[in-house]
Amino acid sequence: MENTKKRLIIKIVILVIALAIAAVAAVDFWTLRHYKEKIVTSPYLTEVKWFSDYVPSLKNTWLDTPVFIFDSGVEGGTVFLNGCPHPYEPASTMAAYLMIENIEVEKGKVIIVPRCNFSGSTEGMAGDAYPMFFSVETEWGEEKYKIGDRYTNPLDQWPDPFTYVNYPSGQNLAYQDIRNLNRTYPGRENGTISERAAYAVMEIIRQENVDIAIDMHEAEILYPVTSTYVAPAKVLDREHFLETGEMVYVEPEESSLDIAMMAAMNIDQFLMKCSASPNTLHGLSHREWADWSDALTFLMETPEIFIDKITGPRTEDLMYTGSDEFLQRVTDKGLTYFPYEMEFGTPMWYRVGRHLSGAMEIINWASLFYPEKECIVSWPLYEDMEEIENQGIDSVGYFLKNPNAPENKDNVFTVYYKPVDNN
Amino acid sequence: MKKSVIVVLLVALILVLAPSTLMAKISGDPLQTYETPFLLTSGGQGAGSKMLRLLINQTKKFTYGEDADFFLEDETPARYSYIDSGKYKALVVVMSVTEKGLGASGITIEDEIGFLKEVVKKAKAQNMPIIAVSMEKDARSKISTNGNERVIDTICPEADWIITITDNNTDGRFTDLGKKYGIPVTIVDKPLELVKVLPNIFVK
Repeated sequence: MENTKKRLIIKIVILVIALAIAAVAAVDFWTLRHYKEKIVTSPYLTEVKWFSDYVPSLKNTWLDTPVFIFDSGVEGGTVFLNGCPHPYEPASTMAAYLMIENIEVEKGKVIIVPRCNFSGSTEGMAGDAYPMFFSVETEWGEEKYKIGDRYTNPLDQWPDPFTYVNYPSGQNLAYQDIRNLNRTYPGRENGTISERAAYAVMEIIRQENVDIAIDMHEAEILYPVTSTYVAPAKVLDREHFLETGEMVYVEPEESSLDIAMMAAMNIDQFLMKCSASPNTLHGLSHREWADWSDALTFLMETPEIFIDKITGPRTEDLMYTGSDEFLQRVTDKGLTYFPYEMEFGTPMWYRVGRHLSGAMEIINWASLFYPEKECIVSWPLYEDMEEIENQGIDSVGYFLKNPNAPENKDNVFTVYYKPVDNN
Repeated sequence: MKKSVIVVLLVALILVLAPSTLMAKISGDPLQTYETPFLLTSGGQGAGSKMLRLLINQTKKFTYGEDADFFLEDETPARYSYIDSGKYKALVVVMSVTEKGLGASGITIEDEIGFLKEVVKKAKAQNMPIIAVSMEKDARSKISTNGNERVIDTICPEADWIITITDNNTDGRFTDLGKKYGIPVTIVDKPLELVKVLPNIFVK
């Protein structure tokens, strides 16, 4: 009898400990899921739309997200910049935030999505011992930003199929890629929630008559397509496909690959390569955006060693500085695709600066090749950030604006999956 | 007229009159000259051959097309036919392996090496001089079995001239190949410098 009582007490104690651990984890998950980042929009902001304006069924879902539009009112090119297609590549979101806060548009129109897969940004990779947030040092203290996952949060789309079949190419992809926004293009209006978000991106490009579309990513340095522009050499003959179902690729009248090649050759501040998008890999932005719209399309990859699989502990410091002795050893053996030096690392400012200058280089070359697509725009560039860093100041924080400052109160925007009070 | 103004005008005049090649940062062996039309192809299916086509077009000196001053063909067997046609006076091979992977083109690196050996054989049969170009950033590796290095080992020993950018020759790889096989090697500082030198290489 006494033994039974003892066992019961032990069971209750174990259960209480398990519940306590679950409660701590639940608080962490809940905090990330509902974390709201605040930004201060530039005075050049003319309109905020949402994915649900393009695909209404996304309203009140975690795949809805704000779309910031800066229209100069002067006829010119329209540029679309996509941040956070993969939330665990956060330099793309930080670059988008710096653009949104500092942009000045003199000609044409700029459309920026800073959190394309909002759902994916609400799920961390705690199972892989990734931190959930990183901090940026600013004049007014530390600002915290989400790291997120590669995929749409399974709370929003589940279960995954045995094999994911991309629409309309019919290409088989890995099961989890059904929640990978950069494998679900061109999307479907009535598909999974990720496919609907992909379709919303396509609709932005088509409905807003986007001329230049740039997708911002980060990549491991053990992956060949790092530190690179990717653009299509050929595009799908859409009419032929819709008539016959056969995928035939033709030389486009206007070449985004030419623009990307010139940009890559002209950039001196950092290594930037250029790669042609294969006709046979489907679901990716640099392929499907070009195949299903008339925009010139580009993807940019910065080197993010945080997502290489052979680093030391994945800490917030590793995310922010990109300094790791194990990757240095691998680089010394010639096994990486980036001239990595751990003393410099691949810090956040460097990756953000690369996106800011990489996008500007594309916009400028596109204007030279096709003057009717000219867009005159400015934001801080790589060299501006380098100059600030040389003074010992965190340049990412330097170019962010204080959302609590009285002079900014009318321009504060809370980035969430639905409008909140101050938006 | 003030002295400083005269100096500025004189410098401007010299810059205008100077041959464009003097403006480009070139080292190693002097530029060689070849006749047009010439055929351009890729060694490794990378974007390099398309980059060079773009730069040649930027010179505004050459016409592009099958029956024009130059033509690009990366694919096999089409490039065999163009070489066999006998109408091209030189072959330019831009060495860089595609980063997206040759698998996306439906071939392996072994296939591409085999194709390139055949390309070289056919060009030799037509007495076409071969110009090996390494101009795509980072198209090098420390590992000898890397695709880029294997393409270099296939093309360079058979070439009549090697052109490389400075960054791709920091280990002296192309200079050493040039010495070993008695091939001139010209080093251009940056890929965009080629726009200035190309009109002096190909004679119409």
